[in-house]
Parts: sequence; structure tokens; C-alpha cells
Amino acid sequence: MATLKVNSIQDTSSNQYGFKNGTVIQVRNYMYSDTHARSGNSEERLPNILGNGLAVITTHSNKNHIMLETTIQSGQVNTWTHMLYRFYYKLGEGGSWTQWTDANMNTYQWNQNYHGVMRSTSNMSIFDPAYKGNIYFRITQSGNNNGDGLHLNKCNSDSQDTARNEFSVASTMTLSEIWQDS
Amino acid sequence: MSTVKTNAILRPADDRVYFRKSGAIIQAKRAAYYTSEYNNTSQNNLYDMPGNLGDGTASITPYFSNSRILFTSVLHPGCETTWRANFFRTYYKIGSGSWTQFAGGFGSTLYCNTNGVARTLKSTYMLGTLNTTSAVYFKIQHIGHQSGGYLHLNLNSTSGSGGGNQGSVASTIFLQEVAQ
Repeated sequence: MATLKVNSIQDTSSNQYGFKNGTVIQVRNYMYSDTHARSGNSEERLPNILGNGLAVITTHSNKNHIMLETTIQSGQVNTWTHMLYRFYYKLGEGGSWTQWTDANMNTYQWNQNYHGVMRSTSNMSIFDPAYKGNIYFRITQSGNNNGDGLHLNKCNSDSQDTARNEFSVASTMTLSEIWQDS
Repeated sequence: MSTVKTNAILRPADDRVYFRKSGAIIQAKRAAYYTSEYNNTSQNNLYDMPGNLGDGTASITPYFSNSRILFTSVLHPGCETTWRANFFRTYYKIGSGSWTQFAGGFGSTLYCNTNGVARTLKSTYMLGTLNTTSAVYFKIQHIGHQSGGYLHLNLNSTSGSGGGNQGSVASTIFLQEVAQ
């Protein structure tokens, strides 16, 4: 059978026919696999690419939506830990950081007298940025007033309070662009 | 207007396929969204989740009858100074049909001595081909453990409060159509 080769296919309204409302047209993934420990309960940015504001996706249209999926590897040392993670975005380099509350998430675990245990927690969210171009993301963490703090990616099976990522886990942020016709 | 029919459309540079392939996500949407704090003290009783998490209006309309549906829920159960064990059942129906339970159920257990601690719970299940291009509706039901089954949906506080949605978290259902 003959093969037809073209650069694009559009309908009579100039919509690209290959994509329909809701089609995922690109995926970007950002990850951090070092350990990172913080005490206290003030709001702080997560380390490196998860918190420095350089995680980015470039939308192809101001109609398209963004889907976020995040996995936080939340380790624990002694007692218990409860963390609130907040998500922020800004439109373009010169934009302002805006909290995206729909994506906010919590982690919690309690395992007194043992170290190195860990829980993986994930979220998912979709929003309409109404923007074409670079959209930047960052995550912050706030600890519970009475709980132990953040032990990101910290895990081991021999109950050690050390900065080890024994099982090579990664905390990740995945951004997808979702096509919208209008 | 002329119609061109073909079984492959490739781009000239590298012959990569432009159109849907088996496994491609061709539609993704948020189908249910609930941000209020919701407390229910019913234990060991099955009931619909609040808002459109449980009222049966969350839906997706597949573009193709042979597609599969990827169901994802994100819930935020909180806790009081005791323990909470919550179980969630998942259902779908096609059009005005009957509700059918599918194996997308999941559970949450929290044990704490501080009010307001919380955990985000994400669960995903891929349904088989439903052979329809009609709207497919979804809902979640909850049943709590008979001794620790209160539900504190979207309750979260880093300061020990037994009420409030400090992080403005949203419990949601996402539906994705996966081409076959």
C-alpha cells in the first residue's frame, strides 16, 4: 500500500487533526535523587530542580492545559513526620509565582524508634494556564509544628539515621501538555 | 470535499507515525473536584463520596469504542488524635446503565496523636475496553472501619488543628482515554 507523507494535517478550521481535545502531546520529567533533610516548620523550597524554579514546560498554544504528576519519597527518622507540599507556577521568566493549590499534597508517617523507613506519595492535577510559552514550576515544603522534619529520599533497611538513599529512589515532577481545540 | 483514506500517516523526516498508536493517551481530563473539608462519622456503612466524587456526574466520552479508560483518584484523608481506616470502592456506568464495581478500590490507614496530620492518596486503575463511545460515568463510595472509620476528607493542618483545609488541597478524579 502506498504511504502518504505530509508535514501537517488540518481541518477546515486550521486545527491540527492529529490531536483531539485532551490528547497528551508532550511530557517533561524532573527528578531529584540526593537526600535532603530539614527541620522546623517554615515554608522552604525543595532542593535543586524541584524547588529552584527552573522546571519548565513550553506550551504550544494558550489553549492547552498542563497536567502535573508528582512523587515525593518521604523518609523518616524516629517519631513521626507530617509535611505539607505546596506547588507554584509562573508564566514566562518575568511572571510572578502563583500558588497552584489544587496540586498541594501531604505526607505523613509514624514509626517510633526506627530510622530509614520511607513512604512514597503521589499526586495528580490539571489546570488551564491560558498561556503559550515557558511555564515554570517549583515545590515548597512545610513541616508540622510538632513533627520531625523533611527527610527527602532518605531510606535504608538497617535503621540508620544517615544521609543514604539505599534504594535509589527519586522524587519527581512530571509535566504534560494536553491539547485543547478551544 | 475529497477524502483520503490511509492506514499510516508518517512525517517525512523520520517516518514516525503522526496519529494515535496503541497505548497513546488521546484524552485526559479532570472529571471530579472537591476542595471542602468533609467529615463523616458513619462507620462500617457504605455511602457515596461528597460532591462529584460520588454523585455520579464524573464522566469521560471515549473518542473510540475500543479505547481503554485509565481511572486515577487523588484523595486527601486527614486524621484526628487516634487512628482512621478508610476503604474506597470504585464504580462506572455507561450512559444511563447500571453501576458496575471495578477493581480500582483502595484504602487508607492513619495512626497519629496529633490532629490534622494528613496523607495524599493516589490510586490508578486501567479498565478494559468498554465498547462504547457514549459517556462513561464514575463514582467513589466510602466505607470506614467499624472501630476507626471516620472520614476526614481534605482535613490537613501543620499546627495541630482538628479542622480546616490549610493547604487548600483538592480531592479529584482524573480520567484518561488510552488508544488501542
